[in-house]
Amino acid sequence: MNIFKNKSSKDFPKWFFPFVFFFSGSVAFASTQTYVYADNFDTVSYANNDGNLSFAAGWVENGEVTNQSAGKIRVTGGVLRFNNLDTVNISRTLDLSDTTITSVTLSFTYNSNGATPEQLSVGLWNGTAYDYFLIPAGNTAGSFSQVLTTAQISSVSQIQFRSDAADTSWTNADTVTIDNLKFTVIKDTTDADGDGVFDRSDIDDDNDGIVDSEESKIDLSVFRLYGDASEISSSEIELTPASANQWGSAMSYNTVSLSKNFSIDAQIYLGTNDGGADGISFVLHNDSRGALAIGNGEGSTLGAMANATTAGIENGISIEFDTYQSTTGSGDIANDHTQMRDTDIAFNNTGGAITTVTDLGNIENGAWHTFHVEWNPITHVLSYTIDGVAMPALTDASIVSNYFAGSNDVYFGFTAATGGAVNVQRIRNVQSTELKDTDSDGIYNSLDLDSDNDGIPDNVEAQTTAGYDTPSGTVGTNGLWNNYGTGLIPIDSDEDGVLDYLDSDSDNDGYTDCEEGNNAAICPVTTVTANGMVDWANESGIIDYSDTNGNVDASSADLFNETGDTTEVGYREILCGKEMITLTHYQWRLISMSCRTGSNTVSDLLGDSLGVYGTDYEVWKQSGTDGYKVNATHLNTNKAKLLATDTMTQGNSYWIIIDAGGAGLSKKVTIPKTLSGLRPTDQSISTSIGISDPDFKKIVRFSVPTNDPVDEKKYMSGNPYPYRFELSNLYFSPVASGKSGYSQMGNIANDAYINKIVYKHDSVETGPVTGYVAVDPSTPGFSGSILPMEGFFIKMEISTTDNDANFFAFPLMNKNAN
Amino acid sequence: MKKMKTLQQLALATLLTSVFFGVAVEAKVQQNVTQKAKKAPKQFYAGWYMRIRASATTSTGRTFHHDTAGVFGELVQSKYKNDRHDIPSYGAATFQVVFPHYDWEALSGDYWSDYRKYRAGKADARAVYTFQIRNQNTVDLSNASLKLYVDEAQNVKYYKENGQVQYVETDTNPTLQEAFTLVDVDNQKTYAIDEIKDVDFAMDSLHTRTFRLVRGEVRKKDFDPVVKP
Repeated sequence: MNIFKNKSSKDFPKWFFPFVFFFSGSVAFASTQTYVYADNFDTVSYANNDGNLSFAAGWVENGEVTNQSAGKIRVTGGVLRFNNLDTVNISRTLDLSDTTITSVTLSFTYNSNGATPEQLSVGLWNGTAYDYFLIPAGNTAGSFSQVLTTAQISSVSQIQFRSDAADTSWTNADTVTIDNLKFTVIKDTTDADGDGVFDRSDIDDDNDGIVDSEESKIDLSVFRLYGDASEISSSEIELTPASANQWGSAMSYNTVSLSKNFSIDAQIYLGTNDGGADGISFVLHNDSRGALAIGNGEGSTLGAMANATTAGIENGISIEFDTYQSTTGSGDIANDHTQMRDTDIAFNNTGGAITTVTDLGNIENGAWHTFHVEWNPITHVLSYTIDGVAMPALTDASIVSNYFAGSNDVYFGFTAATGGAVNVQRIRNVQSTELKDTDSDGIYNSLDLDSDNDGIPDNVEAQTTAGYDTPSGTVGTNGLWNNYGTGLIPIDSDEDGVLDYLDSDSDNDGYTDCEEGNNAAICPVTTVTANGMVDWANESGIIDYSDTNGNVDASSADLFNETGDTTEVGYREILCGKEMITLTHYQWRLISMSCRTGSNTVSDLLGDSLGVYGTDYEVWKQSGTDGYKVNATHLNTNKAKLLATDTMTQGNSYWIIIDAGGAGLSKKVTIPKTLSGLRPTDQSISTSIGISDPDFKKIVRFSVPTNDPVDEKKYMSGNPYPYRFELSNLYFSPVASGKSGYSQMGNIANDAYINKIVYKHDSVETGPVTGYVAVDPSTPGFSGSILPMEGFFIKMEISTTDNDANFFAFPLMNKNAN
Repeated sequence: MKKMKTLQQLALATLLTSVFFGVAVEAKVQQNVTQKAKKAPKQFYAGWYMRIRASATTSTGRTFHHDTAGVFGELVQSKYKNDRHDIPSYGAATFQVVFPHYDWEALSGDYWSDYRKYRAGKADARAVYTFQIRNQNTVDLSNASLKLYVDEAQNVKYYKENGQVQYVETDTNPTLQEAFTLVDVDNQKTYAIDEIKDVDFAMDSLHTRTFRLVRGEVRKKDFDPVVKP
């Protein structure tokens, strides 16, 4: 199952969803252990090691001689005692450099006795200075717990106890004791691919050559930008500029399911003005507006929450990073702060608080702050960190009904707002290490050797066919094959924005990669092994990560090749396409060939789809001796019926009429890809003939009849590629005397040679009913596409001076499906 | 240490949310569209068009549609008479919407679009667009019911690239069509645009039905039939 909903149909083939995947085999995954550095002070010693890990050294005093049994600081009565402390302090070092460490928590109990002003503090070394936390003073006892930040976890981590810096008035009556001191360390030694590099340090957890950050990356296109939000780059979004009364959002188009684990990482930027406003909110919600959900215009709501008069995002939880005190008495403290809030309740209503406020000091400091949020459906904990520091979490087994109106599926995203005070507020590098499971097989892409379940391993699809480099040699200390440098840069053959290793149809020709990919292919796929590979795509018997390219050892030789040529393998080769055009009963239609058909006959090409030639279908071509003149008194042209054994010419179009078996029935046309002699339509670089169009890079040219004294001469042409294109992307060249170069259809430069309008058949009704439709990119209301295998006709204008060849240059728009 | 938000800021925020909220949202949505638009040379207002769609349903329930033509409007680059944005119709069809122009001499005939010149400041000037519903091929629709639809006006901008005028269809203008009245020439009746969706005009035993869309005052001559020379 995938936690993303509403995927586009392009993401998966139609046959995908009805099938349930069965798993075979298993791979060992998550492995976490708990370790403890401890000092129970049961022995009068500064070198106690009461946990299963040992401190790097014993306690060291500063300000008096280090002595565990005498002085202002000493071990006595089973506790560490501080008396009349003033400027004396004590510290101890521990090595937390182990890269498998995921979290460290300091805890101890305390008992304070004496005058209130005299207060002990505990410090944690952050590599530059101690971060201090006060221990409650007065006659009080309790326990202390603090999660260490990333900076506090190092090979020279230290703990220190000292008097509060401003307090040097201790007396003999002032005593604080500490007991049961522990650093609880969680280590994750998972090594999914068994390459000897733990996943926490492994940048390629499945050894497929594509680094995890690439496989986990959330393309910012998953977000709908709204309001004042704008895209800064492919990885960065500005939610608000530094202008008054702005608000914007980046909200997911699709939902995430609370029935599954998920985590999201991002960096957030709150600006440089400490007096600025108002902050950023991460939101999970089930607002009926979906990706367009946003709060109201008041800056204090951060674009997420309600205010006193207007609703905010409905049915949601906000994790706010609030940089402005908009009101008092509602938990909105003066310093920058964070907490979880209910977006349905006004920002200044204490009833909206879900967790307690945490003071963040100043986060409008020009720095990017790391944000991590995760949901655990087993423990029902929604937790988050900012700059590695854990913030108060929400534990709620009824979170779905309490906050999301009963829906397990929620949208996620970021909002921000400004008021009278302003700041630039942005997010970038949004990632999800666990969200992305493109093929919905239950294995996240970073651990999935075949992320689109097409039977072609990610390692193969990420690389060009000609340049394929097998995983070999040694794996580096970062967990990546050394021969892949900093990681493979996955390619997108059809430039449709979906990388091949995630694209179920890498050449957009209608055949799935499964159908025209692996030589061992059995489609549709039903069984996936624990490494994410389709069962038949594994090397025999290997279902772990020790053979990441499965049974494709040499990319070109082990993959299907329809034409048998050496140009490209099948799943990337642009051939004729599958089900390129649909013909209805007795419909007249103009069709063209979507590939080079060689010596194949009409019945070879169309018989499989349409039946017996002359009975189930007929094809006619332009013919006759009347010069194809088309005008008010001569509306058509002479035709000649093709023989079943005739060949068809690419670039031309033909009339076709079929008997589909009755009114309302239809047939889809596929030129059989196994026919001998089929070849891809030629592809020339468009700039080589002077066409520079940002929409495409390659073209094929076909000659158009010369302009002669026959005015409005009819010419029948058609789409030569298995892809749809806009008529405005078709170029024409008259190559007339003193004139050369190509101009887009509709350009007045063509007017003397060719009519700017092309005509296609309009209706799906029986022949005599059929009308026509005009396509003219230069007239509003008449723009349009030419579909794969679709023909059209156009009228040539009279020319008395030019008998040179004319040309159409058809664009290769392989990013367009049919 | 932060300062409290001033009373003026709070007042402004409250005003925005309670009084101008609807207007503010519209403005921001529009701004977002502009931000995401493909970068292009400076664009200028070119005019607008509307599309007439028609459907005819026979007594047996068979329905024919024509929704790929029927375009009328105004463009800066068009003329009152024939210009390159007037698309000539092609061929006979069982059912289609055409603009008959027997007044265009050598270019006399039926058209699938009828563009006039857009003149800023003359948006309310009287204008008459004559269109006909044609039933020409073998299926007899003379007894069919007839429905007409006029889509909201589509605003159009233009820019020049390498000296070539390119059009960009931007947003719709739902109020523009309110200025028009539909004249059923054959039955000598008039209709406001917002009421025609509920009317069965019927083919009235005819193979050609004639209508006019009139902006401004409807005059007696707007009821005159179209006479083919």
